[in-house]
Amino acid sequence: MTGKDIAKEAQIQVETNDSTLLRKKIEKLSLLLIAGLAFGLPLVMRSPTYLHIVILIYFYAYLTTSWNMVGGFAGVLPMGHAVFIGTGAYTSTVLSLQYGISPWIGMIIGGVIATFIGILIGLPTFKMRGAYFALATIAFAEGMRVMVENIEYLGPFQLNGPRGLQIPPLNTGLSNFMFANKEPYYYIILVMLILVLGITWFISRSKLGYYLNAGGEEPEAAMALGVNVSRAKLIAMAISSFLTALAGTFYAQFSLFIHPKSIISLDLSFEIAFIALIGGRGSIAGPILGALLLRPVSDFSRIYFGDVFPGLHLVIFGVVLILVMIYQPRGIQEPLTRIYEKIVDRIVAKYSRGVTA
Amino acid sequence: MLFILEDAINGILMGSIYGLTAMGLTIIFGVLKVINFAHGSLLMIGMYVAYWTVALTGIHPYLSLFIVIPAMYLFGYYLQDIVIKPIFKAEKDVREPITVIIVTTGVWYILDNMTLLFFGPQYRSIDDNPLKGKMMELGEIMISVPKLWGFVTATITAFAIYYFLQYTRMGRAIRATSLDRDAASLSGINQYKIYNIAFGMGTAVAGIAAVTLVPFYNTFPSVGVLFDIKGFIIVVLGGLGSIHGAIIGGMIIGLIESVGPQFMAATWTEAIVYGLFLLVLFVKPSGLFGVKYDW
Repeated sequence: MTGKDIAKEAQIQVETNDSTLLRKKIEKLSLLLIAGLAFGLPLVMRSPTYLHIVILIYFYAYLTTSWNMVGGFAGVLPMGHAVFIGTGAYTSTVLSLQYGISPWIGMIIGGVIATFIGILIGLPTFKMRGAYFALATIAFAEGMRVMVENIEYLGPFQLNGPRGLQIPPLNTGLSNFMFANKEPYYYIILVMLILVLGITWFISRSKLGYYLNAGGEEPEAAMALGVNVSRAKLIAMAISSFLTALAGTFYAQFSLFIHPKSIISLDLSFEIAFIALIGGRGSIAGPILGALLLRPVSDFSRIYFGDVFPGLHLVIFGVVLILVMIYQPRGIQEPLTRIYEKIVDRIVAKYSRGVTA
Repeated sequence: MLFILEDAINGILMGSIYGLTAMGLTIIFGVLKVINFAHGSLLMIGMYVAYWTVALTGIHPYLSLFIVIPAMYLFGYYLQDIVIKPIFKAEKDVREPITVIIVTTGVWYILDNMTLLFFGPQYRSIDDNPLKGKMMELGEIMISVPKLWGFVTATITAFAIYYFLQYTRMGRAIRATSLDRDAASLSGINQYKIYNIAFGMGTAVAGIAAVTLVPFYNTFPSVGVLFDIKGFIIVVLGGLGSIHGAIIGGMIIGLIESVGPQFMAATWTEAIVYGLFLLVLFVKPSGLFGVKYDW
């Protein structure tokens, strides 16, 4: 190798280092920009109706991200996640209504109970094939709904059966997880969403993430390499059910009314799965993009066409789902990521050329 | 004691209709290895076809079979051909076609809510048909006549499908595809055509079930959901892919639903059915008559 070659290589090295650094910088900047926009939004958007819609978008993005840990990374199809939402909502509500325990504590207790339920479902079902797992989770969720609808008193706890529980909006304040206006709820769910995204990011780069991916793609091959696939899936299920239950408490405190048909319903479970699948299961951005795309469709068609065309938003959901599955089986995050990469490429190219020239 | 027997008989009759709804599901699963989440919606479409046929012409409900069966067969055939086949082809190498399951869920949402858009949420029933509310006395036991008709229809359908699959050339091709799609393709069977036919058959059977329901049941857009989840439970109970398993599984569910309320609140029987389903999934996922190979 001549000295000239070495010098050239060194220059290339420097250039690639530069461009990867630049890439990272752009990534950081755009994330900061998005975060800034998200935190500043309530200052601009004063209408409670729109804020409500945005809160629900975050809420669904949070749920779908939690779902994604099992449904996306572990490669199975859980269709009964509403059980965990219900567990979280009922636990914290019952504890705060009957015992005066702050919903923040009830939130954690609900999460722990949901974790146990998740493991209980996961233990026998993760050995089954995909379709069976989907059926088992549906049956479990429906079974739980029927149970809750039939139970007035579960031991000392009053569940009120099909009538559900109403939280009187008396003691507002942070420790009671109850606020007179929507902004605090907005910031709480935003922080929750950021946390859950962070957890997902962390998992996807950890050993567990690789185990899950391997187990989801090729279970036999992964097992042959000594990966305990069902254990990895079980851990993912435990984390997912815990996080989903926290959202249940948030929903209960946000809407101040829960009943089995609304929070343990099959529709809710399916909607979570739909958003994840349309957005792109197994990716971090997918659930957010899915929620951003689908929730407004659902809310606005309900607001504007709800009386004339009932169920229109579900028709749209179905059509979008089928089209995405046919043309973009990995979800809408894939083409969007590609566009983003292209823009970054262009910026990087322009900048490097500017330096070398 | 006598009324328990009466409930048991009527439960078994109703259960055979449940079994008939599940039979279509099991045919489709047996061949395509796909759980068709849209099956309840197909049943609902069948009920609307049967309802309008009878309501507009005033014929005996069971005569509508001559319209419902071919209409539903074609509907299923082309639904599979146009919507599901492209995904199937894209996902050929995957052992568990999860995407197909999701697409059938999409079909379910579209069909149910389109029906809601077009026909509205009201319950429709044919009040002046010759079967409605008829009872037959057998000694001191009262038996519901429309359910008895349903039972007879279910039995005939089960035997007809069994005969078709066992003894005709097409039936053999379908069974070959269900056992090993690649080997069947190598022997000159067009597997995608077989899928279309199997889906059409499953849909037609859902149509038959719809005709047995229309004389005594309400027709409304979300009627399918009731039978959808019951259908899943029945096919897992009887064994996915097993024809007689579907009928017997249906009868077990019907029996629990009708005799259970004698001993507890009626709503609790539903919880028992789900519990039984989970028990079967955990203990013997291949079901009562299923082949272990299939799961």
